[in-house]
Amino acid sequence: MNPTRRDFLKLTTIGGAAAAVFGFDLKPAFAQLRTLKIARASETRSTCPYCAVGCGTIIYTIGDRAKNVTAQVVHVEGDPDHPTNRGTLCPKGSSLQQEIMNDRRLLKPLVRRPGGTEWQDISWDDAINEIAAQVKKTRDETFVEKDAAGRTVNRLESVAWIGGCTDTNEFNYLVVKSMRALGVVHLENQARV
Amino acid sequence: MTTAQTGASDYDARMRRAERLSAEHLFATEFLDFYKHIAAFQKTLQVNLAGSSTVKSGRASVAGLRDPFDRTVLLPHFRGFLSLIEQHAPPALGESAHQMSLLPSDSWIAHLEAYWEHAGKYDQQVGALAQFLARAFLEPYAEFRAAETARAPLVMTMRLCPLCGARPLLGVLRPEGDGGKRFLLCSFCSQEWEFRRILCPTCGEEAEGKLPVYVAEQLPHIRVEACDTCRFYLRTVDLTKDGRAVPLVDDLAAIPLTLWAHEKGYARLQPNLMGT
Repeated sequence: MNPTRRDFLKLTTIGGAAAAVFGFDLKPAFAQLRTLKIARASETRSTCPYCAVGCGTIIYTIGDRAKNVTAQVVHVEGDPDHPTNRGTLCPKGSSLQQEIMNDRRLLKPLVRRPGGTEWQDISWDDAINEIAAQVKKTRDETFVEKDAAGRTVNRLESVAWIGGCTDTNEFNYLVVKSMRALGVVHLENQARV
Repeated sequence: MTTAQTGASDYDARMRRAERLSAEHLFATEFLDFYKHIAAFQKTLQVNLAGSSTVKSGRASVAGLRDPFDRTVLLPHFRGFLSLIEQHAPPALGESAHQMSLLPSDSWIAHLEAYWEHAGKYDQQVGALAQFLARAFLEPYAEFRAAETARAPLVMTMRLCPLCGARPLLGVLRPEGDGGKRFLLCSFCSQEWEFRRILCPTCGEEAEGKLPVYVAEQLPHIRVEACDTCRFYLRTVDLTKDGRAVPLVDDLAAIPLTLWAHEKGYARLQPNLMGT
């Protein structure tokens, strides 16, 4: 494609592309320009959630910021400016992209019945209702109001909670509040960073 | 700060890279073929500088990189340089070299000294064509001086070259851990210094949403690191994507990205030797 006169005028008035003034032939470069597939990426600093080391990461997302386009994470690398890891990541941290973009991620609730070997689909409503019923039943049956010495303890020792490392602060806050309200004492939320 | 790309072997590497890119990127062939002639001259000048006892003995007294340059060493090469440009450059540039060759040596000195003093600092309004002759001629000398200048450890992120105060020409991403550490490459003395990622070297913008990075599928190791606050951009050569790249040369070959950035309304902080 040939550059238009307008293209050349724009170039010659700005020092950014003075090559035209030098006398170079810019037609091939303009032709190449029209074939370029250019993606806009954003780089965002973040922290690896997996362990207490707290390595710095840079997350690359691609998307032109249009409202109807969901940005896609395309790459995660160690942050070279981070004093903890200076660009390095462990194998688990190196796979962070797959934690975000992974077609094997579970997107719906599944249930495996007692004695069963297969996972079955279950709706969100049914799953939440069943869990609530089980928790209530277990709590009613096993709640400990007083210990052996007769002291009031109000605890629930037959239910435990374990959280994942990628749970958010807000989620963990709600977990602690709700589990403490139930009297759960075996509580681990993996909030290390 | 890393070691500079100085010395004859670096010029050989630049010429080899220009040869390779010239064959691969036909849109840049004219630029790169011309650049090979310049690099060959610069290599010769560099070898002469390294062997010059005058320059060597003057090193100890050089307090700053921009101290006045040694005319007796450089001027004898200038006429030959102008002839080379006349012979190989495109018409407008060739004519410029011809006109310069007709001037008395006092004018040459004034031209070179003005560039030596102001380049990369106070030359925003000076076009690349007006600077080309002095820039191409003095580049090896600036690199030579830089290699001989003592460096203090960097304790802060510098937007201008810590050695000569010039604006950066390029960013360079070098492997660091599993990522890429960013360095800026000086437009005057070609030295590199460390610079933070996700920070605009022009206005200091740090907001991640305002610092988009554009990469073309056809040139995956060249990044246009733009700033939506000041509308300037830094071109960065990503050596983690292509370890064979020679930043100064790969920059020259990325002309379509200059045109693209210009279309998008981004200006380059400091144009390269060919004005792109």
